[in-house]
Amino acid sequence: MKVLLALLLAFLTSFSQELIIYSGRGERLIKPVLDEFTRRTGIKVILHSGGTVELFNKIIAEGERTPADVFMTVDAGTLERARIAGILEPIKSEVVEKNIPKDFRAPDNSWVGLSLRLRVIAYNPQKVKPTEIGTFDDLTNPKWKGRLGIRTGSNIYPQSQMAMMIAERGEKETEKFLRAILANAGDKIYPSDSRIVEAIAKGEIDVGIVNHYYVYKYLEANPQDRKTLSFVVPPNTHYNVSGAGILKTSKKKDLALKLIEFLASEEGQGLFVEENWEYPVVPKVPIRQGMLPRDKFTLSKVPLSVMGRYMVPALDLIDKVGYR
Amino acid sequence: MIYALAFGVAVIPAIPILFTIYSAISADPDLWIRLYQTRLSVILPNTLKLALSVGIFCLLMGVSTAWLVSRYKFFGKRFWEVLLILPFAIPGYIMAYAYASFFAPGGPAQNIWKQFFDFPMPSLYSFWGVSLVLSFVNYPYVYLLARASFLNTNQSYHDVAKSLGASALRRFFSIDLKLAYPGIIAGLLLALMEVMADFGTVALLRYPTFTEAIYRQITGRFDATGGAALASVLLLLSFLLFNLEKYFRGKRSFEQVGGSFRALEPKPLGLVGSTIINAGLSIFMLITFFVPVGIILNMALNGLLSNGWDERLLRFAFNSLLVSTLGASFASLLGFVPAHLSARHPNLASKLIYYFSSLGYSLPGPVVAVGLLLVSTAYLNWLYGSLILLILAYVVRFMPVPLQSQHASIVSLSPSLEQASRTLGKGLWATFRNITIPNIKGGIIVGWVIVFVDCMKELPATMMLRPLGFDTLAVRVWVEASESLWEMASIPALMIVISGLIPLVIVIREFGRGKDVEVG
Repeated sequence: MKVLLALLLAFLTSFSQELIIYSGRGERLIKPVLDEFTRRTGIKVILHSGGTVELFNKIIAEGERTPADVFMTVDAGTLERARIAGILEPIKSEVVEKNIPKDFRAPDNSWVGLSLRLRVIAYNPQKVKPTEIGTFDDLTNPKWKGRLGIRTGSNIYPQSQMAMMIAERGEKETEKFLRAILANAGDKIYPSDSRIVEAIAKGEIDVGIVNHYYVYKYLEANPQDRKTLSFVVPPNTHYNVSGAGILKTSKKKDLALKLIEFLASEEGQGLFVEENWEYPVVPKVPIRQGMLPRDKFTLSKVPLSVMGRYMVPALDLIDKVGYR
Repeated sequence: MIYALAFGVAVIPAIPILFTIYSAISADPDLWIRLYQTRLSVILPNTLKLALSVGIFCLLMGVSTAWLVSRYKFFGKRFWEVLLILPFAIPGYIMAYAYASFFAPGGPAQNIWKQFFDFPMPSLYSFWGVSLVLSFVNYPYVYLLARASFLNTNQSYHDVAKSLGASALRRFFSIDLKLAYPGIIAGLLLALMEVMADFGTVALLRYPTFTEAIYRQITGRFDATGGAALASVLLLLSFLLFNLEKYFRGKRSFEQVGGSFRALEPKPLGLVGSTIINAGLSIFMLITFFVPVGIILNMALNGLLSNGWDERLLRFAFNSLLVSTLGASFASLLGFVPAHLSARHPNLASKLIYYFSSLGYSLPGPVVAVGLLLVSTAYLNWLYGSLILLILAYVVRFMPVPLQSQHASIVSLSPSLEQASRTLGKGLWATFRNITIPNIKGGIIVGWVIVFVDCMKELPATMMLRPLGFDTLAVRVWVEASESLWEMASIPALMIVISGLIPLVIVIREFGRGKDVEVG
């Protein structure tokens, strides 16, 4: 009888050992990481991938009855919006607090950053000297007209960058910057960062604003293009984290916590570095060979949680100037 | 009983409309100010400018081609008459996608351009690019109605004017255009309604207008109130066009007072004239149909050869078939009630019911979506993210089509048949089943097919209301094309274009009967 009961219990628990994740991250990267988690813990994971904002909207609309346990994004801004909306449960975990620096998580631990990405200026070294592009403001110079490529305004990366810039220097100055950048970019607006990197390597454009790992990934696949593609990190550069939060409505918060702790562990962090050339948020985790060392660049002084508050003004600004 | 049912049907489009207007009116004035500063001040002039230029292009293309095929006799005339409506089969976003891939950096057009010119090629991602693409897909409205009107002109008028010494140009302006203008304007207004409702073309070519702004307000911020505010302004604009169109359509028939009608005698053209017209129309049709279709076909073949058949395509096609079948069936079923009522009991009440049931046609997809989202988030939360909401959107938007086609068939079916059935003691439903429906099968099928294809092509409401991860062919085209993954979009695009050719067969059949072709 006892055996039967134990079996039944095992069956029931195995049935409920299932986490539902709404993920704004590219499925190709996050799937292997989650598979590794399942292999180690036996906890099954159901992954719903989609646009970050689309998923956020879905959770809000679903309200109490959302099936999601964990919300993963490619930016801190959306996570901060989720925290403000009151749908995230503050995470109480020694692992998280020990491993992840304060700057990379919400003040109340509603969300935690998991990997660090930098916004950088990619360029073609055969046509551009690195001294010409020391800062993002250098790109407002009219000499870049027709030579600069940027990402579509509907994307979270430029939106976050504008939010951080508004936090740094106010709306007026940011608008001036954005208008100048748009005038230079003209119709060289690309639907993905990897397209911008490729366009620079192939000589279509000379400079572009991208996340750092797109350059590394392109060069990993096309080592022959080293002569025509490189990047500089402007001082106090715009940065962001991919991250995750646990939903208040989740009935499996303990399992969700296990996932977050795994991702914040050294093994989990190593996967982000190895698979995607991102910087770990845990300082002691080593970076890949060929990556710019951590002490060779500086990040903006604006905390991510502050940036999150400027996301809506940033969206307004982007709409106002007609950045698409 | 049937009144109550018909009233119920007529209320369906009214619900999302009223909700949209209500939440727009009750919105915080601050929201309106912010919306004006950041959105309306950009999109209102943009939308009006676009409507103006597309209107002019459509008039030029539609009237001139209609004039050629109705006034002149030349080699290949029958062929061109039919061919000129083919661009109807291509939704704007697919035309935009085809040309965008062709003109893309590093694409074929850029490479050719570089060999001849050393200044950069004009960009498709511009006002003129959007204008041209939208004109290519919408001029057939003007063409069809202008052609029908030109063919209705009495030859005697021309003979009289000619005998009085009026020049050909003078006769064109003071006879043909004067008599045909209500038809031409009606066609123009239909084209403009499409421009107002278009989402995919402007979004793909990054030209901000109302539809795109509404879409972003909802998907980018989940600001339903802001979306409703923008939607209500757009609603006003398209409602205006909708009623103007009805007005001009009503005005279209000039009564022939006495005398006999002599159909227009097309002027035969010589070899030179025929050649010039054939060359001109060939170039025009290449640009508006064959080149874009060729581009898509070429990409689809390349994709198939290099990557093989993508298994997921079957699922996308199945999803499209599923929602389009459901949409067309429900729209036809519900449309029958007001169609029958207003055909059999033409009084004020039934006319009003008919008018309200057909309102959906004036609603751009994003407006329907916003309205339904508001209703579902306020009262029917469980509907959100389910297929029901999406099907409902299709019904609201496309029910006017079967309404119109079934109405026309019922009117031409003598009521005595139904009355005989009733006198013989058969009930209302038995009469419908055994008499009415079998006799108006043609009208039902035509309406069903047109809605089916409209659903296949529909993009904005599908994007906004579909369940998470529920991809249709149209959604795939848009997602892949907006990421510049041109080849990935080609096979779904091709499938949509092929399905779009089906209703054209119906239109072409009507051509042969010399009947007035109902479009839109």
